[in-house]
Amino acid sequence: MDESQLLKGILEGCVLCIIAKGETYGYEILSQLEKEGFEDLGEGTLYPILTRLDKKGFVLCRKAKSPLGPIRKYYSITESGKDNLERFKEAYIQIMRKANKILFTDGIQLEAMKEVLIEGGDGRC
Amino acid sequence: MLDTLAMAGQLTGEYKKVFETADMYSMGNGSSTKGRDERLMDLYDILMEAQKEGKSVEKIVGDDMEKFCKEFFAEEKNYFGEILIKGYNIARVVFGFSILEFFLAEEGDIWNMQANIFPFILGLMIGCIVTVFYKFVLQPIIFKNRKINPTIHSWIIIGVFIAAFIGSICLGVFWADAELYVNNIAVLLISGGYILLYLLVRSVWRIRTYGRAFGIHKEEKQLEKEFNEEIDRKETLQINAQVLAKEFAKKNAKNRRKGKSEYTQQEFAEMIRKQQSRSKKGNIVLMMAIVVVPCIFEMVINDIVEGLIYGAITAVIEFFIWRFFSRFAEEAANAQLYILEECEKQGMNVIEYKKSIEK
Repeated sequence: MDESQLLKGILEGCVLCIIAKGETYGYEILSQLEKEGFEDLGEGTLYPILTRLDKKGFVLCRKAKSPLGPIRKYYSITESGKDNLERFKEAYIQIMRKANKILFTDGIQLEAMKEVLIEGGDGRC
Repeated sequence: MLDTLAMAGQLTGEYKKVFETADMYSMGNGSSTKGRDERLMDLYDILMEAQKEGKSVEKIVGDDMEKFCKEFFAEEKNYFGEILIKGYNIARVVFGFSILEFFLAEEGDIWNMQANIFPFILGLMIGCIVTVFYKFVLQPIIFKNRKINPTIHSWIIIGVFIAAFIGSICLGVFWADAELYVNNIAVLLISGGYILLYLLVRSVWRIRTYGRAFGIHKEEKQLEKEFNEEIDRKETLQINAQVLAKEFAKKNAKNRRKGKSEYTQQEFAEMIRKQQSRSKKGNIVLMMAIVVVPCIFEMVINDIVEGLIYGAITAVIEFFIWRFFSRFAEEAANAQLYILEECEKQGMNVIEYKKSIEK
């Protein structure tokens, strides 16, 4: 199954959530995503997302010189970005609730799903 | 605009190759110049960081470079915006020439003056053909052929430009009698109108996006300028360290062959300093000769006053030309002096210095 289609929408929310934790930059966001399990995600996927978020006005982009020399873009979340993140989370819960009812009828899978939900995130964004 | 060649020079091995390939790809994928520069700077930042951390390039670009480039530059495609900007640039040239026509016109009815727009149409046509040819024929071939490196790519682009230039001349000769006259006032109004409309739309868009119409990229431009200067300085330093190291090795190899003792770093530094001083003096003498000899010749053949005027004009023009070219030589000489000083401070020879900055 092609996971990329499934990931597309979710990633935008995840990236926005990481930026909501504090000003950050592309490479750091990617490292964070990798740490959380999105290992196969490359810069080719992340940067267009950041550009889209910037164009939509959900993030603010500040340019500054990085320690190694290049001009780096530092992203921070805007008020409309925060609102969007909240809307995304609500929509995500709704979709998951509906999808779970259909997908997880099998007892073992249901248990696995429960474990995933208990694990959760650190809830800081 | 970014000096991507100098940027690539700061990267090594696979990181450098990835950057160069992305640079080549971005030239013909329809990205706006600004978007292209921004994306390449992002990639450069990622690669520098990855190079420092030892992260493999496969982790960054995956195993399909073309797919990566397509995704990476996807949001920067802006054919419509680019056409508007190109139109604005053409309109400025047309407007400038139309204005010039008024000033250069001899007596007559300026309202009925006619302007031949055929050369503009010809230029536009050639430009469109070259762009379409590069984008849809050449670029896919270049990108599919992984062996093509940036130097060959640059030569291909130069080749295309030369072909376009020769093509323009040939077509100009072929259509020597072709004329397309329109009223100069109409040309002026259309080009001027487009410029005004473009500036108006741009201002409205800027105010809506950034809250102001002017000076929005001032800080960015300053940052970019500083970045370009720094990277140029690094590149000059690297090139000159290589030149000095090669020279040092060559001189010592020669001495070894002749059974003489090798140069120490101090001796070599002294030799380079003397060489530079001699070449500086030589340049001044040469410059003087270039200016003075034609003056004397003019004075002898024609007239003393004419010769002096001719000499003064030649001196001013040649001074600026000389300054323009000597700037590069001066930068190289200063970089070499800096390297020699650093070698003395750090107690190493130029070969060791070259290796240390490569690290």
